[in-house]
Amino acid sequence: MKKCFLFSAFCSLLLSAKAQTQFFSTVKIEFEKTVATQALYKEIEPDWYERIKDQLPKTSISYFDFIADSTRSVYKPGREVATNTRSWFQPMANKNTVYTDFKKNTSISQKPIYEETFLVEDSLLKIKWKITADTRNIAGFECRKAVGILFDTVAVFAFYTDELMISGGPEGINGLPGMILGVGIPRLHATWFATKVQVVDVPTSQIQPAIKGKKSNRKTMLEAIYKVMKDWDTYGKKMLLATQI
Amino acid sequence: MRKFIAGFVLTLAITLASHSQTTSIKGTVTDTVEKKNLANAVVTLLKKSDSLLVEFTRTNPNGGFTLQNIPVGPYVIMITYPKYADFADEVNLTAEPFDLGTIALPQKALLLKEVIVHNTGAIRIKGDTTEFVADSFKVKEGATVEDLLKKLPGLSVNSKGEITAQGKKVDKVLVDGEEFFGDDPTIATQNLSAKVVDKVQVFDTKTEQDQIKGIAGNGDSKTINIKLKENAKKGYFGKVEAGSDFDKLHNGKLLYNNFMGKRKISLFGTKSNTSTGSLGWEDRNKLGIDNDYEYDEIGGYYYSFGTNDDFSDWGLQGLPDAYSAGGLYSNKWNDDKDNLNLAYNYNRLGTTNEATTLKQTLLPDTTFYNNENSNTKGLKQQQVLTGKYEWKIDSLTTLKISSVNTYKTTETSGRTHSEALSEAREFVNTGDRTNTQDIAHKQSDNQLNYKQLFKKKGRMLMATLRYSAIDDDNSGTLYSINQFFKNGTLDSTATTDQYKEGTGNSQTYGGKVTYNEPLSTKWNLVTEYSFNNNNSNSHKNTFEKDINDKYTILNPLYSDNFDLNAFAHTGIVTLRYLGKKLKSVVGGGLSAVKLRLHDLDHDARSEYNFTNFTPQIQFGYAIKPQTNLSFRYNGATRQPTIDQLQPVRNNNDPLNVYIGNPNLKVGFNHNLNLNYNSFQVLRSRYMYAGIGANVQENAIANFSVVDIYGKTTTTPINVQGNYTYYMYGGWVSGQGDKKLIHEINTDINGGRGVTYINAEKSINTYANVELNYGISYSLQDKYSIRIVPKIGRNMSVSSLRKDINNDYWTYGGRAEGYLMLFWKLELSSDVDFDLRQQIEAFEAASTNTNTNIILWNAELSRKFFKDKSGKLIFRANDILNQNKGFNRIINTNFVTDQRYQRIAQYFMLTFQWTFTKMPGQK
Repeated sequence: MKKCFLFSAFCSLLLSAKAQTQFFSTVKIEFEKTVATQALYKEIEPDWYERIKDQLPKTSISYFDFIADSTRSVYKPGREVATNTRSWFQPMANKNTVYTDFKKNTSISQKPIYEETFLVEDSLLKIKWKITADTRNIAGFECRKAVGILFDTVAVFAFYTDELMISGGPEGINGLPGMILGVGIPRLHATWFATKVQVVDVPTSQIQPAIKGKKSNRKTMLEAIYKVMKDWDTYGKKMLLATQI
Repeated sequence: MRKFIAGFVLTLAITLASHSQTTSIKGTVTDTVEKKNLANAVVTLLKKSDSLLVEFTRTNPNGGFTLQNIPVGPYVIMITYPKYADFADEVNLTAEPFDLGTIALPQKALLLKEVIVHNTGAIRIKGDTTEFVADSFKVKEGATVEDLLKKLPGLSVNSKGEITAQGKKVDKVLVDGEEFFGDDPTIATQNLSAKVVDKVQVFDTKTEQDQIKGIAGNGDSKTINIKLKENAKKGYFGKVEAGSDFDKLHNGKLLYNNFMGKRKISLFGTKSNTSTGSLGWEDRNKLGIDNDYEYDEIGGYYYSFGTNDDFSDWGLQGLPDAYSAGGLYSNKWNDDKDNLNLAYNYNRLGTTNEATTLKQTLLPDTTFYNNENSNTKGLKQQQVLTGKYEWKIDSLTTLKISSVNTYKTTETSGRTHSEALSEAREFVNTGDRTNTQDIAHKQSDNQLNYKQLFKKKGRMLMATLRYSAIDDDNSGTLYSINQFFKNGTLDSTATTDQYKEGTGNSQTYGGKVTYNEPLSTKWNLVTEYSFNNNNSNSHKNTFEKDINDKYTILNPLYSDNFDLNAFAHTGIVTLRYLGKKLKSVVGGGLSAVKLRLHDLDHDARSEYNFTNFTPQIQFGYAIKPQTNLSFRYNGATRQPTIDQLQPVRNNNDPLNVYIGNPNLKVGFNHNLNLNYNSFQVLRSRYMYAGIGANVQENAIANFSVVDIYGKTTTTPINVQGNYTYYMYGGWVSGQGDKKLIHEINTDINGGRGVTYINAEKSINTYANVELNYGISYSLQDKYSIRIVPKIGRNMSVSSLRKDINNDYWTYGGRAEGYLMLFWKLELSSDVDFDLRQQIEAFEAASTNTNTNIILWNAELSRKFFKDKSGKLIFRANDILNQNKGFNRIINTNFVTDQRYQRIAQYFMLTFQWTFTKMPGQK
């Protein structure tokens, strides 16, 4: 036991000594996505919310794996957690697989939406980022806060680290100088935070785009779902946004 | 000009890069102490005007970097390296390539801005949000929010009501994080009273606001969020409606709902000559009345109890004169831990009805025809007082008390003329009878629920105690003259003149304990035990006239007095499986029921013991999202009712007498259902189909004896071989404006029933098939049209009279349309075609046998006032004046066509006005 402690102490010493100079370009990250179910439901269906809030979980949690080398990354559903299948809350866009090629500035995203699975090939999302001076430690990495505006209206809060040399993030969130380890999108009442970061033995062979799905680009997918969701009021708007990030 | 460029760059920073003059910037990054070049440092170029990220790169192994193709202009260059302080400096890039030289980063020094939190009570600064506590700033009585804002440091309001905060224009005012009636900030500030404000928050429109609501900002401006005091969240909603045909029909409606925080008070009153006056779903919902939802903790679904059918428009027969009134009080306090609901409801429904019934009776050797005309008058009144109190003792324990108390009176009187005809249309009997009846019914149901959750997820204990009491008081008279004929000539006459009175009392208490134990994340075991004890007594006595013309002579044949005790124990064990795709329930219940009957008239005691068994199996399988297949089997024992067991005669209609049978056996029902539904959301395609059957063992059927005078005596007996079945299916496709929407629905049902008539077994099989196809097309707020034609076939065969064919077609359908006309006039209209093929048997029976109804309604309306709160409606109901109530029943031995009165053609002018005052509005 004592040995074990010494060993881990040694390891952490080694790591902290190295951390000053070491940068990583391959990484496997586990993201924990948390949706504030009650807050979201309250916004979508205020009357019904009052009635069912006791039966609604406060949050809904799911996991995703992000694997990247310096030029490509894949973001896909990770380990399953036991969810309350009885819950009224149906997670939105929780099965996406996003492959990003940073060199070509393109992504291939597999997005199952109801009965259709879209395979969206398009350029990377353009987010207008503002860098702030705030920092925060996520999964052992010092991260800097950036505030972004997506589609001119949607606020995105992101924390990125210089130490991981990948300009990626969960879903299609990208465009910061380092790897994004934390994201919050208030309009979706959702956050993504890295809970595990692995820099050695990264299974880079898994960085492959999904191949199944109806080939489309962001515009044609939006057209296909907009005609249905535009009549769904608040829920439809949130759903649309959730499918677009 | 500068401003213009800045704004332009803000929105088009990326596209602009390729159009304007570009330049480059380079440099080297080193360490201050070791003078070592730093590789992989992040070099970020930000737009100076708004610190928007423009470009970034990493330093090469020698610490050098170059950023190419940068549009000329002012920037901030930021260089960061883990564990080192950030470097940030303004650079003005011109066409000349810029060399930043060598930048040395110091280790660990801090250049970060501090987050300042002042807490002086009146003003708090959190990040970039400034919060003012409203009560700290004195304003005069009756002041508006605008007056309050003028008092706040750093805020100013000009004569137009425009607000400036911290030197920047305020473009949004939110109330509790919500946008307050559109974009104009003055609506909120000039209409809200300063008294109701708890806090005023000022923040940047572009950042924090997105956090609250997700609305985009449009420049460098500020947002004010006004947080209201909890008790100031008050407002009201109301609706007034008055309609008349300026002759006999007058409708009125008044709704009012007032809320203050979580306290709600609703009041309503209605009067109607065209309906029962019951509030529609929408009105109920707005008043908060429709909160009779209960949550099934075990099954995990919501359910609600049906409303009292006596006052619903569905069962309405005759012409109504209806009034209703009611009130609701609800409140939650103590962090919603205490929840109280009180409601009172009064209904008064007077009806007059003229009804005609044509009946064909199939006997083995002949056929009877019965024609009946009746005039009835009724008055039903009901008062219901409901109370509910829920107390969440802690996060695991809840206690709930509910009580429903009803007082209902019914007064009816009616005159009926009936005639029975032989196959040759000769008189068999005729009857004239007058009935009156007064019923008073009092009922109180009380329940105490206790729910206990445990630390272990899913484990749950629920206990319920029930107590209910019923008190009935009836009295009535029957006067009838029946004439009986032989070969078409009068044979005998019978007169009945009786007074009937009845009282009944019933008390029930019971208890139930349910325990849910999670065996794993997917398996749950539910066990339940309940007992129910009911004590009741019933006194029904029929008196005939003595020589003094008073009803004093008891007629024991039609009298019945008994005490009944019913005691039941029930145990249920259910195993539930809840997987990702498969859901399943398997279980069963067993109950022992003991009935102890004490016949007071004969001082006879009898005891009945029943064992009831209720197995159930359910499977639900999600083939894929939005596509489900489910199977359900329920078995249930059916025990006879006390009326079916009691050998007492009921002679309310002397030509149809019912006598109970104490030898009835317990029956068993098997219920099977298979259901499929699929919803393709993006394709807007919905498909459903189902099939099911109900098979009855030892079903209780009627054993009827018809004598030569056409008088029927009926006794219940057990029969075998009864079943019903059904199939349904449908398909809907399309959604949205200017699109054709198609739908197809089919419905099939049928069955087999056994009865005995004149001791002969009669097997009646029947089947009904209906198919409809619908098509619709619309453009929102302009027009819409929908046409749904239908066709159906009704078939039945009686084994006693296979020669008689009562099959017929039904056809028709529905058409509806809406059109927005000139001058904001809205026209809507709907037609229902209900066409039936005549049955051969009735063709000659009566002169008025047209069973076709075409019901055509139209409405012309226009909304008034700026907020469209007023609406004037002209309604033409049943333009063709054809609205007859109509029912056709094909029974084992009878085919019945029933007509009753319903409100028909009228023209009515109605005015509606809704008024609303939302929280904080002045």
